[in-house]
Amino acid sequence: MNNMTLINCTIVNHDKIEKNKDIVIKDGMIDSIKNHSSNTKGIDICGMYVLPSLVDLHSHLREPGEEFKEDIFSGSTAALAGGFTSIVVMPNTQPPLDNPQSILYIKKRESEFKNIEIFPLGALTKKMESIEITEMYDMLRAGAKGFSDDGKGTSNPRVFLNGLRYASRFNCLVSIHCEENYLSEGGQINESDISIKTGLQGIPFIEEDIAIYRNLRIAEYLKTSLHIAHISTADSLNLIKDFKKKKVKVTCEVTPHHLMFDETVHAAYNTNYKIKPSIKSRSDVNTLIEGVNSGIIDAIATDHAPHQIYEKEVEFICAPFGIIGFETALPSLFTNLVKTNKIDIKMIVKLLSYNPGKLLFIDERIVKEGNRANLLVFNPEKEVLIDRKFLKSRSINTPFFSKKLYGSVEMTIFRGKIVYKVK
Amino acid sequence: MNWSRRHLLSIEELSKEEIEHILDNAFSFKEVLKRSIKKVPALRGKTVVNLFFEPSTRTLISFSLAEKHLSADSINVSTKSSSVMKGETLLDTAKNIESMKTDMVVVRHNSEGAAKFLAEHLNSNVINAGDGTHEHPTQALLDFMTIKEIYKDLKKLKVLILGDILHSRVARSLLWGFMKYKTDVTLCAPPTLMPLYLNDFNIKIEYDIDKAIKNKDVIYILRMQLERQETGLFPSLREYIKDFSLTYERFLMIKNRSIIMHPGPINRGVELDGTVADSEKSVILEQVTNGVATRMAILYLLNGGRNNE
Repeated sequence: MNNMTLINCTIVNHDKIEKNKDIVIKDGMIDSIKNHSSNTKGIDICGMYVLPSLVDLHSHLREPGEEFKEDIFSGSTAALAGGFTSIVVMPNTQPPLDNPQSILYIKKRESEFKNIEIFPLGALTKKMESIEITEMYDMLRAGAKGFSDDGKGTSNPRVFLNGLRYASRFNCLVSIHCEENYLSEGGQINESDISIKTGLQGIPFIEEDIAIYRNLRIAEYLKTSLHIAHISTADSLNLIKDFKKKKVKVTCEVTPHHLMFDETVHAAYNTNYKIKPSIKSRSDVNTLIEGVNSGIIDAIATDHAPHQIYEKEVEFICAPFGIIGFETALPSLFTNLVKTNKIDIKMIVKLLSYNPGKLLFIDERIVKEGNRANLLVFNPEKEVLIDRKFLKSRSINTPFFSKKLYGSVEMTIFRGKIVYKVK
Repeated sequence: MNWSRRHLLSIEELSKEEIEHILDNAFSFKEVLKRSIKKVPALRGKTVVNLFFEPSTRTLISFSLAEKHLSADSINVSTKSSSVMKGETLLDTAKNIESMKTDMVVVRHNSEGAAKFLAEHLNSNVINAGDGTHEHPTQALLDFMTIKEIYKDLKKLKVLILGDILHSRVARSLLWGFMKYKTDVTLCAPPTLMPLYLNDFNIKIEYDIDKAIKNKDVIYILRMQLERQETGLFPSLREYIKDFSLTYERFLMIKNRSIIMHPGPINRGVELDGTVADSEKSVILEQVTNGVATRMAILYLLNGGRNNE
């Protein structure tokens, strides 16, 4: 079981690309990697890319409570189809994951699905209300990987300080959604010429860096590590850069969509662009791309946020925030950033696999001998149409819907077993 | 010119030629309104639904009359009588209505983009009768008609738009139109009611009303939405009136031949002095008359610009 050989692979790791390799997998581990030999028998990869499988630091699987949007099975299937074998799920379910029992429930569902690693973050505060901190010790014992009040942020700075301090003794990820709610309340899109023209209520972009500054100062004060979720502006990036220079233990992530879309997309009132944080200006996008290339941004995370079509096909102000991202992450990054020479494919591997793997303290995401056989096969030549058939998620709320992207995840391997394969 | 649009969603999307074409037709229909029998058969056999999700008196009556003058069969649906309150989505409501075989939908809604949304999903012609703070194109068109009756050439005019620009769909439609005519436009409002980003519009901003009203050919006063006070954007109505209302004293300072416009309904004593609305400079009621003619022109053109026989 779980033994196979992949022949004629182009191995793409975060630091190098090696062509014409044969990968021998035994007992779920990479047994050996050798130069291709015509004598070796196995699955012919035909020179396509073999990457370490992807790690998502930020997703919403909607279970428990909103299974009509997504559940752990449909969401996990979508993740595998996107090449992700390790995913962080956020606690803003209904009810929130704010106690050990709810974490145990997620871990039970993970074991029923079998073919994926799910890392729940517990809520940092009970009911995510930013009043009382949660039972973190017990949640970690139940299987939580860390804590977050994602979707809101922990609005009370004293509560956040105490929560971060309490968590500091554990080896865990504390991820914070940074949004100054008083500034963003009621807003639909970034405040700019576009918000004025469309009439949609604008959100001043400073709401993000104001919240980030508060949280970075708290982390600096406590000398603890902190992860900043989904940054979207140049000012946020520059703040994080400054604090990194000061040796504050901060890491941050960006979503694929904030690396490619700018706010002009809102002219058509398409609710599949309605997200938080809002889509910003082209110059923000360019600065974020620089932030990826200069190493300030540690990870790319999907913020996979499913909503049903009938929830999104409504008046713009009534539509919920969020878009799905598992299945389009790698193809959209490849199409819009790698093929256009803005970001190297190795950097994508670093931010979608190697770095987030380190942040979660899981197996090393490098395709090399002795490591776990968590892999994906990517065909950079193939064009994919993003339609209902392509998407495995229960929801289809993606701005790429009915568009074509380059690059296809052909196969996903988890612990030496093929868990997804294009037919 | 050949009219090819199926919907009227915004002034932004119209060319100057299209605006002129609508106004030319509106002037013809105004002649119809002067007859004792104000009816033409242009939309005979056509069904128009006035789908109003926001309270309206003037615009709804104006559209209804325009439809009746054109011999269309029309019905009015307002939020109170529809199933919206029961939790039905806008799309479901609209599709249900269209399943009853309607030809045109006039929609007013408090969400920006609602008219465009319906236009994308329905087969009917859609007319935007105001969508949130986005646009109110028929209001701007009737305003341009009213201005043209007095001044002919919009390019040579100095126009002041006074009041809550930030939340005004009328202001946005006017701005797009005036930009196409290259009119000299000044905006006046407290900074909190003025959009922060106006880079794409060639306009002047003046916070001092006494300076702003000088030498203007048109003073367009927006309605103060009194509920805005609760959002903390200005401290009190009293201060707003002192600082930004067209008071009688200020009225005496404006240019002799300038005109005063307002989209209605007016708050006497708030954005303008109670007597100013009745002065010889006010064309506010003429705007209302022109509203019917303009809407007749739009309905006529969207139906293909021909009489139904």
